[in-house]
Amino acid sequence: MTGSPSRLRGPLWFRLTTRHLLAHRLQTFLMVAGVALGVAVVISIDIANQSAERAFTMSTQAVTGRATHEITGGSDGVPVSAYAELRRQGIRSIAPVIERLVIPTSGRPLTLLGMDPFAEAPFRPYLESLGPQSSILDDLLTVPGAALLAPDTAAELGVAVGEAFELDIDANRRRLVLVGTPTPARESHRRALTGLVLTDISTAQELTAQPTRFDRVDVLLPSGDETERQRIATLLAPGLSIAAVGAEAGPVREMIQAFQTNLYALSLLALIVGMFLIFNTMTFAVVQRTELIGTLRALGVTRSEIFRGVCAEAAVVGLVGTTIGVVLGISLGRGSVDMVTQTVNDLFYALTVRSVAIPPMSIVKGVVLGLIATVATAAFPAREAAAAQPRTALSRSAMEETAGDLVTRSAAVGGALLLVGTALLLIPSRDLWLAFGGLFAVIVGLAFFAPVATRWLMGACAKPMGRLWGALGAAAPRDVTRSLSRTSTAIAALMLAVSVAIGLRIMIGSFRTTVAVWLDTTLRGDVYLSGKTLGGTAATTPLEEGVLAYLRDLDGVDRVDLVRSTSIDTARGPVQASASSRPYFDDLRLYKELAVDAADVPARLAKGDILVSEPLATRLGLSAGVDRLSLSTVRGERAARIVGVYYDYASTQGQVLLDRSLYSVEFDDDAVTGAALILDDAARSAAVSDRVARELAPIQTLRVRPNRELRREVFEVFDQAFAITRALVILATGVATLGVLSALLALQLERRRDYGMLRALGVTGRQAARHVFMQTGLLGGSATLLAIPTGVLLAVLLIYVINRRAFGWTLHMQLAADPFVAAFALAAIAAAAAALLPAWRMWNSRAAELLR
Amino acid sequence: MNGFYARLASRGCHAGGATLIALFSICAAACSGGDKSTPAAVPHTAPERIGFTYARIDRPLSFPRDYGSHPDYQTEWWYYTGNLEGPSGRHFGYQLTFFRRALKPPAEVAERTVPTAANDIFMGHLALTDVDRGEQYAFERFGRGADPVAGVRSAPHAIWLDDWRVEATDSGSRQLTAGDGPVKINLELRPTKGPIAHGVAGYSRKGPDPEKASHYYSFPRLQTIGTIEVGGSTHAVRGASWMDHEFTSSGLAEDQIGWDWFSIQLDNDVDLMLFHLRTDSGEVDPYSSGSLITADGAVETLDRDRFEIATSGSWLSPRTGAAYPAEWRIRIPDRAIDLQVRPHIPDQELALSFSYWEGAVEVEGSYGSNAVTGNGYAELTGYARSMKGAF
Repeated sequence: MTGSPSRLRGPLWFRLTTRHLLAHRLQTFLMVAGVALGVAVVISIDIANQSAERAFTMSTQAVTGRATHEITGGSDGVPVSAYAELRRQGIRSIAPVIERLVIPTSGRPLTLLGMDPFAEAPFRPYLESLGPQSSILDDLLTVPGAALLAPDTAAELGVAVGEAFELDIDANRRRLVLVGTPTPARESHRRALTGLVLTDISTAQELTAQPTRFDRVDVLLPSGDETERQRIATLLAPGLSIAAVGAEAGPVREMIQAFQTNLYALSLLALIVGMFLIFNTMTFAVVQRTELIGTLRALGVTRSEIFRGVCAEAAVVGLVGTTIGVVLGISLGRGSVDMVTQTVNDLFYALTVRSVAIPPMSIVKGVVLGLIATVATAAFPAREAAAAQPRTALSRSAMEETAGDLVTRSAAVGGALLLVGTALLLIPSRDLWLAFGGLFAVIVGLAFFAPVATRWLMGACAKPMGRLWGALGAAAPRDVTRSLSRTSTAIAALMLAVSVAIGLRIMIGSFRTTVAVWLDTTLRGDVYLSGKTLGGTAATTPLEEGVLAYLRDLDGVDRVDLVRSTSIDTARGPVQASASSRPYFDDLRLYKELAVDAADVPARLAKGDILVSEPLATRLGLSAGVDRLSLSTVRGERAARIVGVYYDYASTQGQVLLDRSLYSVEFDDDAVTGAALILDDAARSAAVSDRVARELAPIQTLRVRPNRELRREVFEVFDQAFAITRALVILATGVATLGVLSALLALQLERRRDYGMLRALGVTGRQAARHVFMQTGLLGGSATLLAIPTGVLLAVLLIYVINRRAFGWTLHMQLAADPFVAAFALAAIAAAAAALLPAWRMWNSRAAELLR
Repeated sequence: MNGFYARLASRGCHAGGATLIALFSICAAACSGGDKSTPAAVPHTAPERIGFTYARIDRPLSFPRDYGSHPDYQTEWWYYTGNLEGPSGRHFGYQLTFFRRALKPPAEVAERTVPTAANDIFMGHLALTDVDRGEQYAFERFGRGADPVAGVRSAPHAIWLDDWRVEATDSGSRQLTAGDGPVKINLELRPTKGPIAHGVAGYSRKGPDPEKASHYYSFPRLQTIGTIEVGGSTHAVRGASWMDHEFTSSGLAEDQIGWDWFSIQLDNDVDLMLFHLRTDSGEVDPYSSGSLITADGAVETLDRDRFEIATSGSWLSPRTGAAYPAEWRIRIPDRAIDLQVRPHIPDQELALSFSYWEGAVEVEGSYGSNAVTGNGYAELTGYARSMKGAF
């Protein structure tokens, strides 16, 4: 080497790095794979979330369009006469709407949107061009049942223009005629039409049998036009009100955001696991080159040059890994979009749009995160490499001599993180990100205790293992301790993944049990009847009188309990309400708070007191026995006393529970939306359910289900909701497996000569392979042991902090064995998978090769 | 106007110049017959379809019945125009028009169960010419011909589209109220003549086929008083208005491309209605005609060969590129009437869903041996060539 090192350092380091990376392909692959997987998970979740968010916005826009305000009149809707009066007064930026979830004979639910094409232009821009189908409007206005569908929706229903098709609207089978398949010029407008059944407002009135009213009237006001809003408000008949759009969508949107935040946070966990992997492999890459680094330092290369060199190397690895991660993430994202939108659909809102678009911001986020994470993680080993003295760096074991430092320092960092995390969690707030910040700090903080815990565990293992497998057995834990900087990061990575698996499983299991208990206390009927609706939302379609009469005369029925689900106005805004003829109030398990004796509850309700569900109590800050909720009854405002707060997992917005006979008087509403049959012989529920469904079909299209089926459906929705969570756990474990593999390879490569010596001394390939498995077993076992308390802690935080903040639900924590068994299996599989390649190498190794 | 509404209002238009009424009605026949670029779906709405009633010579007008709507006929319009002056002599022209178009012939209208179901589409045009400022304002709106939005009543007569209204008052006048943007009109119109029937007892023939005709009557002179609000200031105004009501189920003949129509109110209390139907060969169609209404309300029908309309100069629309005549000389030789007609301002083109020129005009000339002056309205259709075949 001649001339100035500084002139050579750029190309020199590049050449050395390239050569190193190429010579150690497996290591390089692991580093790249670690980054790629982490980035892929973050991007795929982000894509899924963004798509769900866009779908939500477009679904709401498809029906609310650009409306800024809407005029509503509670469950009665808006009378046609009130709309006419507004138009007579020259208020023209208003459009009547009828909007219903409707169900085709097969396939997913659609949204019926009844609108007046002449009032629409400013509201729903996607209606602007209905394509070159000039007779569409004539037919839309004049053909009874005329509807428009997007071409893809028409294809889904298998209906062509001019053909009739059937939909269940408000539980009545109705016949519609497809008169056109508009294809707006703009892609976004085309997407907005997907899943909509567009009809003229008059047709929608006929289909929903409400000749004198609309569901609502959309209003478009220039932003901040308070005068016009006031003018409209004063023109409105009593019972009608104008409110900004979004007020109603608010709680739903909040829920979806909470759900997405949960997912997002979990995807970050995968990235953190990935960061451990990067740290591990980068450290190893540095350790392997201690001689080279020592030589370079001796030749006059400065510390900062070494530091920058290692960082640059990490950046290259990060760049390649990130690029692969982006590609991988996009394809994973396509799959997860389905899972996320399905869940949002089931739990919160009927999304009419389900297309995948790749938001550029998701990619940018993933790239930035991948690069920063790689370089930031590599900064630690880079600093270590730079800190080495020229002479000591030449000594091969110099790096590991700092292991003692490592244990102390990482324990200190862990302790600090634990403190920060706890402090964050103690801040009284409903902010989700704050909670997740705290949760991350605590969990990652615990991971930083991996080195100290590993050293302790290995010390404890050395003796028994020596007794069992002799010198080689005793050597295994010592080897782990000797390479602590790498083994402990591998353990930490695996521990994180396994603890996330344990924590999520406990949380999901507890959730499931809680819901099961709750169903026991609330689902007491044998057969349930309601109008058709989507999974999570309550049916608000009234049952026809004929149905009720039929039920009254049905044989073998002990009792019929009736319920009216609707929305009522309160001083705190519209609230979902359930007016029940005979609620089951006697089970104490139902209540979170109760201000009176459980036995007295029915009597109190009959007198006008109410119960509120936990999410509503949380949302509005209500307590039993203390607060009142003012209800807008037909007789005026009435402040009802809240006697209890009950658990409810059916709605995230919360609801009020009232006595039905009192409700029908106070709200002038006799309608019934659901019925529960209590049979003389519960064993006959399936047969009775079939019979009722068959015999009621000519009167009204209803969902009739026996208790068992209803429960099954609830759990179907439930499992669907957590499908993506499980997928995330598997991904995180995959990353951790790579971590263990890389740690093992590192140990092996580092000990090449030692192994060679052993083989030369007569140790068989089989024994050497067993040694590898022992080491793996130690890594996997330690990770699992550490993961158990961490996982339980994670579950506690998820159940008592995250879920409460996100959804307002209290879950009862259940500690069952299966999460732990599953976690152990997961760790064992990961460790075994990681050990296969190194063990196979050992088995086939020759002493001479290893010693060379 | 976006495609959706233009299409719904227009559908079959138009070979020979996309004009308001062409689009909306009369010429739909010509469209379906003549224009190769017309969409295939047009025959669906062509008035030849069986079911609508055609104008007939043996159907006399009858009031108040015929003030109202005629659902048997596909197209119908009520046209109010007028020249008004403020206290300081500030001159205004206004136009308020309601068009009705039936979607299906009565026999094909399905039984519907809700009052919002509509078989008619209404279109409204409101225009105000502020002569002193040299500006014209024009507004357009559409509505379903159903309960909450738009409708017509025979007696007491009323037409409405949202808050644009014409309503008969107890005293026999008609109250007009309409507004949009910076413009608002509120006028009371008291008829001094009429209703008078054009053509043969209101049967106004427009082509060689006897079905190419409309039923047509006017209130040629309505004394008008009221207020006009424009740009924040309100003007008390008075003057004279003209009202036309026409209903038909047929369009222009195949070779007709548009028309020049005039309503003129002279200071000797004589009123004139004249129209030239123009053909694609640049000639004046023999079925062009007019009416001369004397001070006492007597009507004399003027056949094509009894009057001349000579144009001079032209005004080029910067919006549509259409070249409209800039001035006319109208002569009725056997009455020794010779009138020079000039727009109050050149640009009175209504560039709405479709473009046409409809504006206030001033008139001076001789009537027999006397000098006369007057005001009026002119409607020029089929000039906006850029619209040709646009649909």
